[in-house]
Amino acid sequence: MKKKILAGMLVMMMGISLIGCGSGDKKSDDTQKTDKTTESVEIAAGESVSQDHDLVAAVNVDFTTLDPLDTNDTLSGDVQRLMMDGLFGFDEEMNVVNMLAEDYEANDEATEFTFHLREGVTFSDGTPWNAEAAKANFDRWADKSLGLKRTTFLSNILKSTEIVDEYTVKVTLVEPFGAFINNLAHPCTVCVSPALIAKGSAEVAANPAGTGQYRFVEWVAGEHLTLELNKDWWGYDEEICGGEPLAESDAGFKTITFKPVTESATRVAMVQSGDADLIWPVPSENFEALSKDTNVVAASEESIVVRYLFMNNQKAPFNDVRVRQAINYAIDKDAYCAVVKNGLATPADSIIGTNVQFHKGNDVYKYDIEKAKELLADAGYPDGFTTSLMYATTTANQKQAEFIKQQLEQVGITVELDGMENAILQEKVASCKEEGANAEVNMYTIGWSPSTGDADWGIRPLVAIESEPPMSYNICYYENEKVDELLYDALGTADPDKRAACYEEIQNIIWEESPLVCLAFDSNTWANSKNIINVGNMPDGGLWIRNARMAAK
Amino acid sequence: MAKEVIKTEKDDIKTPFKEFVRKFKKQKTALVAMVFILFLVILAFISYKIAPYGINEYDYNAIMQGPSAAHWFGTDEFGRDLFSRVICGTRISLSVGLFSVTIGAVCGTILGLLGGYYGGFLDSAIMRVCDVLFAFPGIILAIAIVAILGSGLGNVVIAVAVFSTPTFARLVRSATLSLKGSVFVQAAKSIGASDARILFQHILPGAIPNIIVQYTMSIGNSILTASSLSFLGMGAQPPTPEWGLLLSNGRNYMMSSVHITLFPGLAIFLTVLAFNLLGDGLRDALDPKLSE
Amino acid sequence: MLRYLVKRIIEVIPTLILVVTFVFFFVRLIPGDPAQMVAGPQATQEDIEVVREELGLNEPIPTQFVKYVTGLFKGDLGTSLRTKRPVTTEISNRYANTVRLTLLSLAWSSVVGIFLGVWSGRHRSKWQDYMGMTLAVSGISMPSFWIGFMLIIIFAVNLGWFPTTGADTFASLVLPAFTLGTSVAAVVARFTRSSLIEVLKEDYIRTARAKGIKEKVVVWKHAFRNSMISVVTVIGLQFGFLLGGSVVTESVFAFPGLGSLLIESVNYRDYPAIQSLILIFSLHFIVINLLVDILYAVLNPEIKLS
Repeated sequence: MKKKILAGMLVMMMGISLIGCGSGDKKSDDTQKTDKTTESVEIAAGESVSQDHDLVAAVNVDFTTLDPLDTNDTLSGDVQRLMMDGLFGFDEEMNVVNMLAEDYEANDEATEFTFHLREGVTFSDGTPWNAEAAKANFDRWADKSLGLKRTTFLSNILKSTEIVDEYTVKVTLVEPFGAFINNLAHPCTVCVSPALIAKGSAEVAANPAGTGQYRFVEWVAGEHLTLELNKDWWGYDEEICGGEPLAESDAGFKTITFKPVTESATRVAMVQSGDADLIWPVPSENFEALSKDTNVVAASEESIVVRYLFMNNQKAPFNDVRVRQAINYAIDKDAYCAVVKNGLATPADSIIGTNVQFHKGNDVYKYDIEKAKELLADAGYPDGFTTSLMYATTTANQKQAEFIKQQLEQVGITVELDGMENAILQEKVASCKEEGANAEVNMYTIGWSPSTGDADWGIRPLVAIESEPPMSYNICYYENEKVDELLYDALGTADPDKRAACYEEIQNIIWEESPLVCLAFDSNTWANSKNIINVGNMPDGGLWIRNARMAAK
Repeated sequence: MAKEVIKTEKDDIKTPFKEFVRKFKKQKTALVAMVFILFLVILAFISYKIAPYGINEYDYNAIMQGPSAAHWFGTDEFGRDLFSRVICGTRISLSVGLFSVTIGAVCGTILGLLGGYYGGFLDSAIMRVCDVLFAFPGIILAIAIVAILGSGLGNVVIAVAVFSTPTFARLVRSATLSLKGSVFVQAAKSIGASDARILFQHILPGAIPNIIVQYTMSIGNSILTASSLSFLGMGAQPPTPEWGLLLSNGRNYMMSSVHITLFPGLAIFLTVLAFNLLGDGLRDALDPKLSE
Repeated sequence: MLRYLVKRIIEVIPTLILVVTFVFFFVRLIPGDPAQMVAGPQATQEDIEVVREELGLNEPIPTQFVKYVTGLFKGDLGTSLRTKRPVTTEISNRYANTVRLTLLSLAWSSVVGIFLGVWSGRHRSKWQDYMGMTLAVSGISMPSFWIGFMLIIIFAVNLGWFPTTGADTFASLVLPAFTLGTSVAAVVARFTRSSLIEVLKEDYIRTARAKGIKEKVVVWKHAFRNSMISVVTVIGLQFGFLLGGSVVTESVFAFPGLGSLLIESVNYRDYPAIQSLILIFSLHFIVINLLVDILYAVLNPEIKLS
């Protein structure tokens, strides 16, 4: 079953690249290796009982809203992606795939995009999907007056949308934007029924209607959110999909009920006792406990989240590249993965994750205390120095901070741990209006991932000069004009080869200059009862449940 | 001539203190508790010297091991010896408990004395403020104070002191109210004693028994609050071996490695229990009406 | 009586005003920017400003204060910055849950506490007393999150008798109610015991015993009734505490109540929600205090209502 779908997607991808556009990066089928604790069951075609089952999923936070344009958290995005489809989407491996757009063309400067829409699709409120519906959505994304959390996502670059014919729209941008297609695959740009758009944002959030595999039933905040299966979903229909359906006809659950459960130990207890069929994330410490339970499949897979240790490049001693490299050599990345993440991470070989478009790996900075001490001595710190590390207090961050402290002690660097509540930390660090040299921060830990799956959002907010606080998250105050130039070159074209070349050079420079330490690529973790297959997390942390099936007990 | 040994009344007088000691000795659980607390205090002084391992001595090859001969309480997520960390945490918990309650007791006593004695607007104002503080859910007040002042044990002490003050204030105020009309006070007033003298020489001693009892009870409570704050990430910073922080670090391992939460949890439990039992014993022994 | 009642209610008003004003300005003192929290972890400065404008946080603070207070008079508790829904909606969803949990906790802990207290008190200084009181004191000596986790591991995971989370069925209330009630039962037991011991010293008890009335009757019919006065006060106070701060227990059990709402709101610096929740907790506390005082006065004719 899986092979068929994989093959189908490869066909789709090849089809896209034949038309002269597409997602660019060619990835092999098995970039993703899911590590599972128990073998999955085999379910023969047509024998899944999932469509008679009410699935219960326990998650770690509550949902925030059902309006995609007002969402900045992955979980709410998950639910929206189940109810609504975008022009594009991601597959399990973060490849961009066509959803409501069958294909597209772009001009060389990446300023004009023409989309050919899929035919035969309807919204759950009866409105048909066509060029008018698409334009209504583009206009909403371009509307600067809405005051929503994602208002700036596209509103600064969309210039106009025109209807070419019933199933074709042409979009013109204000300036070149090579990552446009990835932005349209992002969860916040799933398409909403134009009838709802006409009624206003409050209605969009209250009664979402999309073209997705599931329909909205109800949401009791803090308690549960329920969806029901849409058996008429276009993704089940071979013809509309152009050959291969997106999901098997017996896949999907009768209803899905999400329950927010913040305490991870409690979530784990739920999946063990059967109170929940599926939970995520599973903190690495609990993974151990679950791996011994034969009724549960616990799985992990590399995500696109990268863990960093930032250093303030404008302040001594971090303004010396030797010091920064020394710190990189002094931290044992393998031990980090083993001790801090209980094995559920991989040492980072770039500033962006393996599954991010245009990733180019370099050699991991190997653990070498002697070399670190040598570099420090060269830079004038033979006895090390004292500094501080700021971070938001969560159990995971505390563990990470203690580890870093222990590692740096070995080369004489004394790190004072300065953990604080997230809101306070953000105000002190991310909103800081001072110049880098006067900023309070010395070292800072953060995790980051480009939810668009594209290298641009994975790199630019962290290292571009314009991204220094308070604008964005270049908390290392790294200022390299060459890197900036390359970043804007890459944005200014839709040609994947040109973009790939730019990002390769960027990643090489950053690796050499080490403005930040790339610690590891996190793994996503989830657990489900063993008679369910094809569920899990996508590399961006989103829920993958499209083709989920269930064996009879 | 044989000297006559004249037994004066002095030998037979039962001073209040002797009476208290006599009664206290009969509270067996309180005696055990007191011995345990003395043991804890001694431990607090010598723990760092007698600990078999350093509190930051990590060993990545010995992570999350259960109790063994080498590690009596097992090891934690960095391979550090849990026994050493737990006993060294005694100093922290005891200090935090003692300091915060002492500050709260002193402030509360002063407020209670003043309010109860002078009455009127001062009393209303003090009671109003106490009402507001009481009406605030304790943990939220503590979180708010720590948020403003920053995390760290020093600020935890302040937060706990702030929210123990109203209890002492109310207690001392009601004692003051009832003692205000007593014979001693009337007499002292009639001979022209100053207010301060009356308050501190006549009224305060009458309230002391209650203050002492409340003090011991509050220590237990403050240790619990401090550990809750550390549990929520706002109290002690790593790598301090504060018991609440140890519990917080271990919470995700609870199901697979019970030892990492069992021992710090037990430490908190036994310490708080001891103080509470002691407080009970003190109260029973100090209460003049509770004769056997 | 009526005059006392009115007087007390009037006294409450300045306290409430103080609480509302105090909380409003106090939460704004705490560092942290709600617009930033709401805009999210990858928000740029631009995003944050858009959100700030939308949430009305650019208005001058006195204006915000006036808006909030006038809203209060109309029964409008403000709009949550985090969810954009009325705070009243957020609270009403969870109010019933918290009340049910509190009542259940209070019910079992009062009953158990009273019985334990009486049992210890009448066998004063004997083994029953030591055992009873040590048990009671243990109840207030354990961190609630520890108790909660132990209960989950034993009863929900290993034995499977109760669900781990939720608030819809009675069964799902049991474990959290047990956790919450442990400390209350302990306090009630101790107070009952000391209250009973005090009463048992009274002359009329000695008379009753001298008359040859059975000890059991003496304890339960005479002493118990009179010791209940202060016990009721204590139970009332505990009720007030329970309604406010079961934050930690609620998070361990993922219980959708007011405590977890408050913690969420604090994390997001959701000012209207924080203000309104604290106002409600204070109100609870004050009202219950008032009721307890009245009850106390009714039960104890010696207290002059002056």
